Amino acid sequence: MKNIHPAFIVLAMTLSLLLVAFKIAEEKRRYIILLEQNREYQIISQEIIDLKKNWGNPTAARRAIQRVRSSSLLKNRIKKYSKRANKIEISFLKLDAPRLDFVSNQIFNAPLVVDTFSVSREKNESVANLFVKVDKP
Amino acid sequence: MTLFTIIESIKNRLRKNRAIFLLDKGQSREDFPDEKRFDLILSPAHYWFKREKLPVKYSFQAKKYAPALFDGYLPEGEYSYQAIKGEDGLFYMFAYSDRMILQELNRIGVKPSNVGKLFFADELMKKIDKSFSIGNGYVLVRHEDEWVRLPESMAPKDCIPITAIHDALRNRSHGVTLTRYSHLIPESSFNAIAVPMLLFLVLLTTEWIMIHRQNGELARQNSQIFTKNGLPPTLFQNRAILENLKKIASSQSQIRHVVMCVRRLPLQKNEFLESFTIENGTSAEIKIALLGKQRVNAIRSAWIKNECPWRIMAPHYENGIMSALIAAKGRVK
Repeated sequence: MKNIHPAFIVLAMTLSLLLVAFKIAEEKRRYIILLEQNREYQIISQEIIDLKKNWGNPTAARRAIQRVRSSSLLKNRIKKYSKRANKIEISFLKLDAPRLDFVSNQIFNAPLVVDTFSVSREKNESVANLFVKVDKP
Repeated sequence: MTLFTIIESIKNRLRKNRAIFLLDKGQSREDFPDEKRFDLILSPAHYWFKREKLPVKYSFQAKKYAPALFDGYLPEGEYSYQAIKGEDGLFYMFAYSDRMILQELNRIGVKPSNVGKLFFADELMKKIDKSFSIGNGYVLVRHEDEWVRLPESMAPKDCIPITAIHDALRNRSHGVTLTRYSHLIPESSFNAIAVPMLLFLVLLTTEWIMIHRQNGELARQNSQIFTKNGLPPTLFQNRAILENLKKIASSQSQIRHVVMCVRRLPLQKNEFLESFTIENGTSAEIKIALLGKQRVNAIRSAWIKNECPWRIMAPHYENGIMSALIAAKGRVK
């Protein structure tokens, strides 16, 4: 230490100070980025969880389909029920206004992802046929 | 073995192999062969020496007494001090002037940067009991445990050359460093600048380390947010999932809104819905039996009033039936 020129010591310390100050500034920038990242991740996670509760809840969706299938109101009115790889198709025959209301309420109030919904009136009759295709829960 | 002791042992080994010369008054450049780096033995002409019994245990404590011990004994000037504890429990106190040694080296033509450590003749040669020649017509003679420089004419008969004691000098210790720049800036002024800077440096470094650790912890937390919620680990995957879910949510909400609008259509007696089909969740076709063509506009107005997200497009009326496509704006080509 005694053999080193004082100017070199002061210079070395100044450079070290600058280096550390630069490092601190860099770490602070990184901290802000990480904090923003943290907030973004939290928001994305929460949004996914909330949306899944509404549109990805398989239990509620299955329950709605089960309610429709087992309803005494729709006895002998379900023409076809088929389960594909990722879709469920149900055809109903000769539904009057109350039955049609019941089915559409069950389907649209449940977290079912509706792909196709087709109502057509039978000729000269006050009943309608219904075809529904939803994503398999 | 700590890193410090390893470094010290390496330095000692290098020092033992380093050349050593005596620095006395009146020497010339020839007395110092061209060596890159060498140690110096200061002859008694370059320092003041006292042996004292002090009420302290260690050398660094004894060193604090040195200025008081030499007070009034030294000529005017700035001095450095060294205290070495002897085997007899006494402290060997030395006072020397860096400036005077530097002046002597400059006069001789030796670069101060080539000088490694300075050793005091009294301390270094305490185990040598014979007088020896130091050249330039002088000898060092031990007199009552102190080395005295005398002219050769006064030398005792058993005087030996300096080369004969080189082996004894190999195991040297307790050297001091020559302060080369004390004349540029006083130590107190230098300390006034360097100490706050050092403290500031330590503070900043501590802050840096703390922020660095905090960032590490935050990064670790970030990497666990998704997995904690049972989601895939990467942001890319989760963004894709979110986009897909948002798309489904938006499309399904629109479908439900459209169905609600259809159910709210103001149909009159003998008017009815012939068919209504939504396919792929993007568009719908509607056929309504109406009483007349003028009812088409009424149906359209009611549709707009209900603020439906999809629009009735290109409606046409034929054989009492209004047919139209319902789709979001821009969806249908």
